[in-house]
Amino acid sequence: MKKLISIMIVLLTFFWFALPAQDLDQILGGIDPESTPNFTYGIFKGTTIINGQSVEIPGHNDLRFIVSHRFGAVNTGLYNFFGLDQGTTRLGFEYGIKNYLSLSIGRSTYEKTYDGGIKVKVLRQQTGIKNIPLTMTIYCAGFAETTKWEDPERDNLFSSRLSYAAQVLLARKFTRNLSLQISPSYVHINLVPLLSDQNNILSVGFGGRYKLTPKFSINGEYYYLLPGETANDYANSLSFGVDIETGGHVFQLHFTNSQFMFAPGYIARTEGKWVQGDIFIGFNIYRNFSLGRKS
Amino acid sequence: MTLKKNSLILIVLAVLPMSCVNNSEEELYGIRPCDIENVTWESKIREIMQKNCVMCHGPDVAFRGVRHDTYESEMIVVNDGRLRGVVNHLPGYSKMPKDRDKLPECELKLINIWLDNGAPEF
Repeated sequence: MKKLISIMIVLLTFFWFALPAQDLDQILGGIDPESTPNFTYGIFKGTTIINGQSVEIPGHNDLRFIVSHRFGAVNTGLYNFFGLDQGTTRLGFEYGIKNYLSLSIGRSTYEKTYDGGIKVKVLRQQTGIKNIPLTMTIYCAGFAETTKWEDPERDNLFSSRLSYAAQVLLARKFTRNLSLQISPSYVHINLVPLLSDQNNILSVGFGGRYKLTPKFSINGEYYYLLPGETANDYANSLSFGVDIETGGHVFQLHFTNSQFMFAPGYIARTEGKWVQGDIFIGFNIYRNFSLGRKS
Repeated sequence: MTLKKNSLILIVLAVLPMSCVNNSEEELYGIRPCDIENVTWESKIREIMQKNCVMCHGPDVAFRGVRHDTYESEMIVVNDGRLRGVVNHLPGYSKMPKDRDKLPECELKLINIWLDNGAPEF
């Protein structure tokens, strides 16, 4: 008797779950999955992986306020409380003009640098009508440092303050949890100290994210400088961190060997070396505001 | 409206690279390369201190008891981290040289290299 009751409970449970599924299958049976685009969402949580840009852009009519901070190097010892006495900050805004287009502005305390950028999502990873295996975003930005002239007597040029960055960001969400990105990058610095220094710097960035829970992921990022004078004088930027999502905020906490939060800095001017303990603790905080109707 | 927005973006994209130049300070102002070989107190650092610091921190005037005219007195501010803090304008330190911007890039680089190498006298 007990055995019969057990079998009946199992069968009832099975049908309880199976019947609605059958209804759903009947409803969806009329829709051809090949005829609708099935976009891949949430390749990365933020518009940056750590220091560098991700393929993500703010949604249409979304305004994002971003506070980024890097403390001083951990190896500065107890006197500087392992870097907490020092730090640099960037405040930035990003606005989604379209689902595929956004503008950004920001200001970093490091060398009092202002930045303005544009991001265009050219391809979206999707299946269905089209089968596109990755998302491609192009990022272009200009940067102006505004510290007082080191030598006010000489004929200083405004162009000497400017630098630029252009990146082609290619990313794919391989599984629900794993996303990887490759970022060929170009940086132009108008004024360098020596004739032998590079004004044009090429680099390839690699980034990734692995989601451990729906609201928590681990991230990594590495920018490799192509051989040249810059690669001889500076270090490749290497960073690790976590993303934590809480309501309308995203917190990114990380360890990095670069104190810069703008592309010409972390790509071409990173001086810290992990092996020597030049590690900067930092965070990015995102707050999203919806300013209008979505398209 | 979309056309206007797109035109504006295209104009910005077109104007930005116009200010792209390939300049170097060496070419524009004739600055010699920064010689970072053999950075010691005697070879390079004493001269930088003499030129920039000793007028306020020397045998005649020694503000806050700090002196930069001898290796022994220099080591006091080297060992407690003050020299690195003040010349690099790190938070929590007075900015030196006083009422001036940071030292010229090469001089600052030499001081930092000297500190990284353990501040040797010779």
